[in-house]
Amino acid sequence: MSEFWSTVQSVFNYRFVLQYQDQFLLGIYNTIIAAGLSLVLSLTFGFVVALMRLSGRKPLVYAATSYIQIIRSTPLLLQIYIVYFGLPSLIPAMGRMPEIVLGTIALTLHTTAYMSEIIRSGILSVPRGQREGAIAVGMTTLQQYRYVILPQGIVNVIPALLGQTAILIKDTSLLSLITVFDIVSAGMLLNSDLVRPNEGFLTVAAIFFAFYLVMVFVSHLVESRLAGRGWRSVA
Amino acid sequence: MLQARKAGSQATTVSIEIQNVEKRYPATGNGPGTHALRNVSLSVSKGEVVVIIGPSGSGKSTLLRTINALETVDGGSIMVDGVSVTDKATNLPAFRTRVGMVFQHFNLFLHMTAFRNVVLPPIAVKGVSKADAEAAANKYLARVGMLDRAHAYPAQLSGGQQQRIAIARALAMEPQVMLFDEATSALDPEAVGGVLDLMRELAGEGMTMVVVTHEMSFAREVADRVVFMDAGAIVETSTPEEIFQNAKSERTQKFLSLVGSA
Repeated sequence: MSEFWSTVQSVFNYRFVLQYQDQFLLGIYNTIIAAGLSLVLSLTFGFVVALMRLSGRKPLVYAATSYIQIIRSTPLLLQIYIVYFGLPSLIPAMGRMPEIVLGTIALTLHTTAYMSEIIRSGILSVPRGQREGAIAVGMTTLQQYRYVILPQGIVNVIPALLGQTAILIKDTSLLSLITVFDIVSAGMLLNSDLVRPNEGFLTVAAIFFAFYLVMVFVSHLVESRLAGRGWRSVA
Repeated sequence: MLQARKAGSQATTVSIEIQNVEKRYPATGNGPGTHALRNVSLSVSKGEVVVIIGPSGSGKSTLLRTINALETVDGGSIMVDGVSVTDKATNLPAFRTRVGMVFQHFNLFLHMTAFRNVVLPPIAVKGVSKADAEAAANKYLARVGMLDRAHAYPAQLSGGQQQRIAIARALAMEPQVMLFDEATSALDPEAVGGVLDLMRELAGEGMTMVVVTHEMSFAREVADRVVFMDAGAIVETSTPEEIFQNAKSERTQKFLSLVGSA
């Protein structure tokens, strides 16, 4: 038994992870801040951009469409560099901001484009009759969105929103390139100090997986909050 | 309740006044435009039941949908209980709370239970308290015979059950006027009778109703006046007896002979 245990420890010794727990916790904290803020902001702005595209007013449609196309056609890393190096030269005050702020801005700009397309397809997925039913009982446009279109539309695209959120959480690792200390940085540090790649990188993988499980759980909560079970079931 | 009807329809005050309404659908990539409504005028008194019949594409649904401004018009005017529907300054959402609409495909909110479908609109739109709205929902769901299915979702209900709940939802807003847009066209034959009975009862209670339907026997029995439309225009308007027994227009006679129940 003890021989087996020492074999396991030679492959993966959790004590090295504990030795670096402060670094991992800092990485987790930074990832949660960057991904959490970007998620909230990109959902909000994504909704606005989606409404712009759906508005049918040419200037708004063109602005929204060009934004989405520019974001989709360029690499995220480039967008991070442009924000990190470019924004401070445009607005000097931005140069005094911590890296994580600039990183979060870049992630938000990037993710908003994808979220807006998901939200737009969600809104379009709601059958026309649902909106007419809401109009006929006297709902204002705002009420139609609040009570009918958004709950149904969002539930319809929850798998896509979940996927995009998982991508967002993973993309925070790119912020290590502008010196934000994220989870991958903690694993990197452990490995370069101790040359223990398993403890370094498998721990990072496990943390990302744990994030994903939490997201799946949250998405189920959101789904049952917006639409009760059974609304899709057949009589 | 059925007997009370004729007394209710004696009222002479005008409820709906449609004057010279024009509606065109512009040409699209898919085909040429259509002239959906041609100089249509119709007035409906309080408590009156007007049934609109006519072939598909004759503009009857379009006309009905202009009454609560689900369709905009290109010309003419529509007044409902003294409110101008065609005036740009009218607050349409507030106006629509006074007009109940029942659709061919029910249009119940799919993500809500039947009960919530009936409770939500008065709370959200009219600011009714939750307790009052729930009491009203229980009353109207009982009225349409759906209280036992109140906590089912639309997807768990048959077409006939959904349509009853849609009627309860419209009634819970306590409308002055009810519009029925082919309310039984999507139902299986068994369910049609129940929904028509419900509409008959409403008519009997003196509700002002405009009904678009292909149910000729309903038009015969329940209508105070029958309107026959073809190609976007009203061809003739008369009592059911007149229309079904000696229609003036050849087009009307032909339609009625084709649908059979005349």
